[in-house]
Amino acid sequence: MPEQPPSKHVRLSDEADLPGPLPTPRIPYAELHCRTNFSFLEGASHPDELVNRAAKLGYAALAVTDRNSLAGVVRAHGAAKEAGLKLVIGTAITPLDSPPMLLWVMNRAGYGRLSRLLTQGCRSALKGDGRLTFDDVARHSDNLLVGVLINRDTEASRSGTREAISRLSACREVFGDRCYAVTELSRTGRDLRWLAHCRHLASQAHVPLIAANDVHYHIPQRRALHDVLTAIRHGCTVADLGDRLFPNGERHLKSPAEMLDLFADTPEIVSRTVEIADRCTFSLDELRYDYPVELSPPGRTPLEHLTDLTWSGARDRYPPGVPDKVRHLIEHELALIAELRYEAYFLTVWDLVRFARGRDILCQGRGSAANSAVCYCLGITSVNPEQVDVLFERFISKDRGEAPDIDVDFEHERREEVLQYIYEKYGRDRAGMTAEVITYRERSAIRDVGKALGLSVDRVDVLAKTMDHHPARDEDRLTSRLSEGGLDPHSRLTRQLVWLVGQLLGFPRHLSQHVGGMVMTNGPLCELVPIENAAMPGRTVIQWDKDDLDTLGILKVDCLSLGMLTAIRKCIDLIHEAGDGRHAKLTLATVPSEDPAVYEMASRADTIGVFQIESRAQMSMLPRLKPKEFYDLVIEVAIVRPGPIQGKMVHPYLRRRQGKEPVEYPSEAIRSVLQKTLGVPIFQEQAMRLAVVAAGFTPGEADQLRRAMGAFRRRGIIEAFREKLINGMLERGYAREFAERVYQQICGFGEYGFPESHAASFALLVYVSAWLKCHHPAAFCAALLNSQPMGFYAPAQLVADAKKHGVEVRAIDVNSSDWDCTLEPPAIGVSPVLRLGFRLVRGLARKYVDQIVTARAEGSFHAFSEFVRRTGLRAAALKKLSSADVFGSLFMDRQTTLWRALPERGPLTLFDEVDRDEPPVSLPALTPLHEVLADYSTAGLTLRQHPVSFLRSLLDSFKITPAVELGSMLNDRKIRVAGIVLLRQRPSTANGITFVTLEDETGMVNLIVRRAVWERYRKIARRAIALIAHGRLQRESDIIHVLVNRLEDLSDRLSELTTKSRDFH
Amino acid sequence: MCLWFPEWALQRQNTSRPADRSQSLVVYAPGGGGKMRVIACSSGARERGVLPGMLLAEAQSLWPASARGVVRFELHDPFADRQALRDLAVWCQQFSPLVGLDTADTPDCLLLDATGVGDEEEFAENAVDALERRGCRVMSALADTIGAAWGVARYGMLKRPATGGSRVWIVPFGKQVEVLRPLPVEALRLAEGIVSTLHELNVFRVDQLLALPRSGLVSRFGVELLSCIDRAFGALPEMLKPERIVEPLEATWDFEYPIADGRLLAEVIEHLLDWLLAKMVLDYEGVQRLVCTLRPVHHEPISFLVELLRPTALKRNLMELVRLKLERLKLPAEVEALTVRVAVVAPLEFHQDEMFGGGEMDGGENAARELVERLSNRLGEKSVLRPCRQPEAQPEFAYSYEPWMNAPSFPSSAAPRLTDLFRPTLLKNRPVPILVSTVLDGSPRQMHWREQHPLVKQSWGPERIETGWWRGDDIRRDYYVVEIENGERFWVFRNLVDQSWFLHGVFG
Repeated sequence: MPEQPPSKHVRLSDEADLPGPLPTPRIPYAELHCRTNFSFLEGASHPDELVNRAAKLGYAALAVTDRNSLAGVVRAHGAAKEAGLKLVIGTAITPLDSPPMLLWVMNRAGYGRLSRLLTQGCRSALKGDGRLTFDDVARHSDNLLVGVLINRDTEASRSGTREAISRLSACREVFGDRCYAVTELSRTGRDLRWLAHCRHLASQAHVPLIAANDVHYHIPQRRALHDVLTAIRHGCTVADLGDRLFPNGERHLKSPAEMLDLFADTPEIVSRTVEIADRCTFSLDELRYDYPVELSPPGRTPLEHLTDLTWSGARDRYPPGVPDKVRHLIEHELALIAELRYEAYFLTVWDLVRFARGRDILCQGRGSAANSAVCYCLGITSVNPEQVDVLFERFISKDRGEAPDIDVDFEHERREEVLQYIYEKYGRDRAGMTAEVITYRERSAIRDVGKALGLSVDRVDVLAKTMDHHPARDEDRLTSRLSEGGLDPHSRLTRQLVWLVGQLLGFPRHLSQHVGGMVMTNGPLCELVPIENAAMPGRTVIQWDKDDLDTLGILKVDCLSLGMLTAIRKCIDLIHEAGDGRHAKLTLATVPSEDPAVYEMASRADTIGVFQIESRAQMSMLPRLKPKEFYDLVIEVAIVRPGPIQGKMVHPYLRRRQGKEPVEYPSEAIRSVLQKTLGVPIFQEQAMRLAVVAAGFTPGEADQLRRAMGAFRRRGIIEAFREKLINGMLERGYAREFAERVYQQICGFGEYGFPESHAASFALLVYVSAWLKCHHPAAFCAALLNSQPMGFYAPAQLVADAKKHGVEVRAIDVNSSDWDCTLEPPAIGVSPVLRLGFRLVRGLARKYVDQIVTARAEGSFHAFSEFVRRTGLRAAALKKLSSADVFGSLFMDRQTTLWRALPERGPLTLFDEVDRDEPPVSLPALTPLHEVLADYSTAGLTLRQHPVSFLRSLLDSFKITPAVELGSMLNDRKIRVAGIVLLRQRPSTANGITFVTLEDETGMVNLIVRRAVWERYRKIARRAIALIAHGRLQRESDIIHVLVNRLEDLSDRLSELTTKSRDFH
Repeated sequence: MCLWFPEWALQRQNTSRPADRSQSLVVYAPGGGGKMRVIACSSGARERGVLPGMLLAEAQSLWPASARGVVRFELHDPFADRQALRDLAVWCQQFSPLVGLDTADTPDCLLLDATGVGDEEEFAENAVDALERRGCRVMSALADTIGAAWGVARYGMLKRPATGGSRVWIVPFGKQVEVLRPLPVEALRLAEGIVSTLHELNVFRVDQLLALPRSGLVSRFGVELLSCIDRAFGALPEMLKPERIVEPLEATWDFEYPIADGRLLAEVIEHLLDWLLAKMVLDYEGVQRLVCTLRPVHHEPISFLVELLRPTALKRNLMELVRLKLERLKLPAEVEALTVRVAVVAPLEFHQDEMFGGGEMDGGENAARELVERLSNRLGEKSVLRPCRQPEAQPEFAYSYEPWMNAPSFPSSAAPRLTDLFRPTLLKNRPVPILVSTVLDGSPRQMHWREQHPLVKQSWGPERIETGWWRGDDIRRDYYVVEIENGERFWVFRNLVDQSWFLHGVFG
């Protein structure tokens, strides 16, 4: 029997002060009206909190009845299975023409009905809303139970009462004996009179009455949070809510005894709830998934088909013959796939990849199951199993009941084609987009709670900003962040804010569309899960996210988009076009492997533009790690992540790699986990495995631990895990110090670790892009420019880097440039020349460029007036072109063409005369610096001098060192540097340190700005576009930083420079 | 002559509150997305790191919470800025009969006609001196044309020739072209779009602009650019639109000899009212607020205010209220003069009389309104209150009193939502602690209060109220309606936090 999936949420319960397990109730009770926080901004408890509390109170069953939604049921289902509580699936709807009602599912058929009904309601309404009539409900009533909620207003008048009775009777006529009336007492005064009224209505309509409690949260302590949620929903403050608030906190899960006390005179309406729960026998486990049948040709089973495809693919991959190692792997994997019945899944992914290949769309698979020889042979991945040690079982384990996971990355500009293919092949009623549950994070929680407590909009803004990129992680840090934002840490307001934010974190806020998860079914999708409208018009999304699908074992494929694939494909196309056509087009798999020149280049950190390893952190790691082979790239990709950095794994690994520290293992069990990475956990699964082999965690517990680390850390839950881990390790004979270190490492991996399989797929793209940069720098630069925006660097840096590598770059010109950057044959030599394209000109519409290119097909332009006549462009477009200085081949500078472009011309015939009549003008010439600044402001880059070079004599007089000279200077020397700010980055792992990169005409300088210095020069540090930095040189194996102690603004000197630095702080 | 007040929004704040000049000042205005942004700040604030365009809250966070005395944050009020500049224009009429504002959307210049002032330098110096004594920071220039004076005042100071200490640049007759040539093109009062296009053409100075062919300029920038040039150089005339002094609705009476007789005072006020109302009636306007100021001999003037719920043009109504006020007024001495000023004017509302009856209800409402007006004027606005229901669960906050004069309409009779709530007719101002003994289910059995120990004959409840945590302490109470043996009913609650009992109301 497969192990139960781990619970997705681990939270410190607020129940510490509540009575422990309660005695078996006198009368069993099932709560049948209960909202989770998937009734967004209405429910104030997570599904698992409600389930666990209900189990603890000894409920006979719990129904989850979210408003128009089944979004929370899977999480409740998982928790209920663990807690051994019976779960009833249901929903609460309010038809337009009848009182609100609860619907409960009796069996699989009823579930399909309900799902279909909700789909209809959600599809015909705005996002997140439902729109149904009583007739709609009646049409879908089979196999469902209904509980009609009696409206308080009906009590006020005789006619209201009559109306309520007739509504109730109408419902009974549709549902027959499956119809109930629901009464709820919330101690809001005159409860007994209200109960009598309900009993009167029910008996008049001949409908049995049951009790419920309209549960909105699991324990009374959530009342304040619920008030806040209500305020957020109404967009006002809690104080302004008035009677939109519940007057008390009675809508929590009450013990059966308490319910019986409330309905003391009528115990039968309490006990009747169990009768309903008993009639509902459905469990979500019944939603066994049927794979689409059309995956294999008629007459062949999917497994046979997959086996054929794999072996024929293997023959293509290894023309000289399949190596033994690979052959064994394939046989082994196919057997495992057959055993777990995953063949349809692999076929589905294969089908998508085949389609993409047919359209010449570059793609690559990654994810747990992707790291297999089968995937390599099917063409899903390009990581040769000969090169990388693939261990399929590690990812697809027989014990874990999880669905296999393959993500496929497609070129970002063309992924839509693949999605359309899926919809076409399976039809819109059988394919759907997975939801993504958007949850409250520090920033959004502060924002919403702050507003609900009456803080002003701009105060809330400032508070939210202090959360930017620095998750607070625990309550103490949250408090200190808030006091940074100007709140008194001891005030009641701050304490309330911290408390409420802590509870709200992780609450679902709304459903969004997952970036690419697609679900395909054999039967109609809407009978599996309700489908609703997505925010994007014409898009639909199912109500479950990928974790839900995982829990139920439902197939999904992630079709993601990746900018680098676009760039690689464009680069390969450019090389192919520029070549003589003799060579076959390159593919990811045919790029020559293990080229020493590529590793040599990477070791120099000469990696601007290369996938992943172009970031500053990666670049400073490369010279230390000095990758020599493919697996080193896998490690490089995985090691520069917040996880390993926080877990302090980087330095031990480097020391061991450089032979400065012996590689040793405390035990054989640990050797088996960490051997590939020199005894240091670098991949996420290694950290989790450590908890298993060293501390005796179950895989499920290890996963819970990881998730607990990732979420907002409540004191208590972390302590409990820590104790368990450390005690477990001590019991197994490990040293305490080692145990503490492992704990630290696991902490680091909480949210930011990288699994090995992902790292391997990414590493291939790293290698391929590095190879292209190394051997085809012009094409590589052009492809990157044509795929913007992507990566870390702006076009200016990419072009500067290409020039540094000997690429000749030519300016944008009306006689030569296309929309995209192109390659031109060189005047001398063989290396192609990069011609910049019009796409770099800011704000220039593509249609104008098309007009130019079309007109140019008849021959080049010789004069401005001729250009205007042939292209038919109007003043606005001409102005843009003039400012961008693209008339170089006509020997006209930007002011002159702008002057000529300005008059708005009438009919074309008049135009020549206008131009001829004009006296020639002599406009003041631009200074070289102004030309450079104008280049920056129109295209974001210049082929002239670097702007800082104009200041060089001034900078020399300030004794400022150019970037290129830093390499020859002594460590710890006092130094001054200056340049344009390229980026500011404050990683959450860096303890408040901000990394700033400056660029002068000779190269880049990396600055380290400590928090105190940053605060002292805050104004300059945050806003200046060019800086002078004073500090000390720091050098560690070829990596040079300047530790800053003083900053000066250089912006005024370059005030008009509008190049945008990329801010990440 | 052009007088330019740099950063007028700041200056206006400073001149209006001279005592706070030492404070840093930040002026902000609503920007996009409902967020407040800084639009101007004093040099002190700038040193602190404030920049125009910054979020207000960000600017506020630059000062510690304890430093509120050294910095002031003011909401930008363009209307008040313009009004203050107008007032200043009127004040400047002592120098020149014609004073106008510049034509920008947010004007910060005054234009003075200097025709025939005699010694121009003396005239200019006098004006600047007087303004600086008033606390204004002013840059000024005097020239043949408005355009030239405007441009030189704003942009000329850097290019200014050394002229023996004079603070005003007086452009000699006919020399405006010469003076303007080296200035930036902005000095010609051009629209922003034109300036930025000229900059793109690398034309930054007036002389560079003048070097371009006029015909080419027209086809590219329209005639507006040429008119700006021509107006500045005097080739086109430009009129100054003078500010006029608006006459206040005010009338004053000087007594030939001081009097103390109330009736006489009332008669004079009535007379002045006649005169004022006659002026207003043409515009169908009525009085909503009236200020009467009496000047007793050798004493500070005394003012009183008459305020109405709806504007009126009826002298009878007004006089009735005036008399009520006069009766209560204590005069320290005989009055030598009195002034009546209409402080708030509002258009009159006309109600058509219904043809058949029906007006009675309206009459009732009018009568009530008159009563409220009379009482409020007599007893003070804050003395005539009315209760309002508040949608709050906590009984103490479920109602409030507000001044009747604040609310122009009568309370609507819309039914409150919680119709079926048991609420006592008399709520104690503050819950009174009592002792209660209870039966097993928690409901009260006997009350102990003021040495009495009534047994509870019947009780209803509990009604649980848990609310108000955001106001202060979390309120958690179980309310019961209890009836004691003699039939009296009370509203009591148990505080769920500490199980203590309180009496909170009595049913009538």
